Amino acid sequence: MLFNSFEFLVFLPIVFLLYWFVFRERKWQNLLVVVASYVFYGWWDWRFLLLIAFTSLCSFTSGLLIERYDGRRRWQQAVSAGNIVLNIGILGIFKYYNFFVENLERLFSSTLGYQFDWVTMDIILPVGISFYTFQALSYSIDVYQRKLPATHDIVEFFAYISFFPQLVAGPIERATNLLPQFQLQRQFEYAKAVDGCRQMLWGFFKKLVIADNCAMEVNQAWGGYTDSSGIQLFIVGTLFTFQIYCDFSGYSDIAIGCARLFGINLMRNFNYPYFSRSIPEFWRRWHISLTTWFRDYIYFPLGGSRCDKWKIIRNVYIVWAISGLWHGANWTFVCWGLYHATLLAIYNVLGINTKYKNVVASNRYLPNIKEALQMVLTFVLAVFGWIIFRAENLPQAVGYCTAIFTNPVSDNLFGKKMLLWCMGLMVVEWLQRDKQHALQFTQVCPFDYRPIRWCVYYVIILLIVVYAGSNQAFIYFQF
Amino acid sequence: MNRFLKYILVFILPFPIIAAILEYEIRKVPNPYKYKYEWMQKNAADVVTLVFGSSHTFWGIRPEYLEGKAFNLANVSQGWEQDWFLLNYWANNYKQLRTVIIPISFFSWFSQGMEYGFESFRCRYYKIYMDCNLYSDFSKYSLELFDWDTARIKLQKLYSNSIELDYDELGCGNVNKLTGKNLKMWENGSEADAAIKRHTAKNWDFIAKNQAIMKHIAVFCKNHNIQLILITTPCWSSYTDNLDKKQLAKMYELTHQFQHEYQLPYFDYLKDPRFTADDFIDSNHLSDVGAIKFSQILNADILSLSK
Repeated sequence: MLFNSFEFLVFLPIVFLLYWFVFRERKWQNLLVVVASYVFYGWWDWRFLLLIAFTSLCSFTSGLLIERYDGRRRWQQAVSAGNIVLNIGILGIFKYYNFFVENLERLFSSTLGYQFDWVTMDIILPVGISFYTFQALSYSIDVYQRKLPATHDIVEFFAYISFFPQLVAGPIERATNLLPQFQLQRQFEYAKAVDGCRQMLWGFFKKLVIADNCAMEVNQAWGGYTDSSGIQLFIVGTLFTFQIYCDFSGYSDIAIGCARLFGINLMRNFNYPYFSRSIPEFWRRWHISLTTWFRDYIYFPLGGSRCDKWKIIRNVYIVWAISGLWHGANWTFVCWGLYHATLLAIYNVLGINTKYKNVVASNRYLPNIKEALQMVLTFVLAVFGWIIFRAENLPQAVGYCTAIFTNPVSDNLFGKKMLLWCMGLMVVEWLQRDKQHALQFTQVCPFDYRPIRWCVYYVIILLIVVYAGSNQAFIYFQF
Repeated sequence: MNRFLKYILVFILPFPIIAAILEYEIRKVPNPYKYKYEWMQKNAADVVTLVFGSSHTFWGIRPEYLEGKAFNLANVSQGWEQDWFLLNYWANNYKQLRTVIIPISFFSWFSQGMEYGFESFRCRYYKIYMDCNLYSDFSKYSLELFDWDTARIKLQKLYSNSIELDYDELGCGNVNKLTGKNLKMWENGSEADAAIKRHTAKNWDFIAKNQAIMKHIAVFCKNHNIQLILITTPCWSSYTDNLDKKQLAKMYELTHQFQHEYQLPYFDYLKDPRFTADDFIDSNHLSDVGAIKFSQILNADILSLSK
């Protein structure tokens, strides 16, 4: 079920009312969350439910076994490793099997001249498999690392894995944050619920008005990049940069807002990444739940930053190659990861990777020249990264980037109107950059007056109704 | 909680009201479905010839060139399922009906049905304007507003007074003017390629379903003493020369089988050399000029049956 569908419009109020009025007990609420989440997920294809149930069951069991083998570290290690292998194995089969087989075939035929006739499979990629697999993994690793005790309540664990607002595209929650919330009695909080609605509204605006309209321009222009001027190609790349941001952060806003309606706090996933002054800062602000996952479960165990410079750089490359592959079974994603690894390595060598943790131009309306230039540079670097990400294959990525610099200038530019929309969005987000989301303005005059606020909401809804682009699925669902 | 629900209810209250007003306004916009339903309600008793089918007949057959009181009940993407529903809908009203024309296109025997194709949005027009009970899915077909992109265009036209009827008083489509032909796509064949791709069946799983529908139509016509005429409308060589040969052969096999089973006349104009480039608006649709020519030829052929 898509957030931007009529079905969800009916589904959400029903679940909300049942949750707060019928199933008031914590255990019943958890059960309702599981049932509702399975309905939500099964709406795509009921067969996906078997897989998520199996993944959940394996991680739940591994948690119990790790607890049972307390004191026998090797056994615990074996259980934890087994669970990791199982989960990554499932992910590998569904997401990467054909990719690896095809590449091995190519490798053997080019190096040995031998033609293997391996079988590729016609596999449907279950929606959001990478997200819930990582969430399931984080639980068993955290239990193994004694960051949290194993849960004995299968319903609350299934609720943690399948909680529908964040099931298919994150934020990738940690068991240490989400699971305890299912273990406590939830209380309805008016302010939290209202703010959740605001965040959802802003998410819908970003997705339906900005991302979907950018998508139409980008899809139209992408195929014929050889005939477009360099400036045009850069504009299209910029539009995709906004598309992917509004698509994904829009989804996250809807997910976080929706969870708040049920008294659940999800972690923040985006923190105005296009106002970053460096690429390391950008990655502290973009898809935070995934980057911190990689940091905690791969980068730190590899030695993190507490080793010599070359090992740090090696670790960065390993993490980003995996991160690229996580996004999809295509070399473009791996290259995109390595591109960012290279940028991060450069910042690391220069020793400026940990700078800029505060909000840019804090307590000022405008950034200074240095900050502005840094933000522009970071943004342009991000644009080239997204071009690699968006390309269907590596030759296209290279061809597109080259064409930006070599194709002649033309006066006939399109996409300018969408760029203006994006600029408008950036202005609003700039003004609200110290807030959780752009509609958190209740304390600011004149928005502390309810009728004014409601006018703003109605205007946003009107903009959505009038300008919503043709329905595009969320980009990150494919990951 | 009560405070939250109260504010939410007050906040969303204007939406259903506005939606109801918009839905009412959109339904005021003239459209062929509404027009044809109303026409048939008034004239079903007198009509002598009815033309069914998809865009091929909607734009291709001009009822004024057929003998007697004729009416075009075809619509874009209309399949046999809708044809059968419409034919049967006025079953008790027909008094003069003598001829029913059903087209058999390259895709007809293999179609899964309108509801499953990319034109599924049209199902709502049958439900809303033609009292069609084939679709019960509330979320998709009960309101015009559910297809917001189309609804928005209709509203824009309504409020800017720029509504142009795309059908004539006898139900035939009237926008395929030869002057509007896209010569670039005609010459490079891209439209033909896209049409062939669209019309080529992914599988042959739905033949039995379509045979069953056609059987209903044939039996109905036989029981009501109506001459059922099967036709295949003319198409241009960029389309006919590149059709999937297996599917085309199967189409003819099924058509001849059906024709012989019910002793029906079948006129195949698919590659008729009498039609020239100007008779087509694109690879598989007749232009306004071609529609007149085709209607006259068809009429002559129908008349020849009674000789």
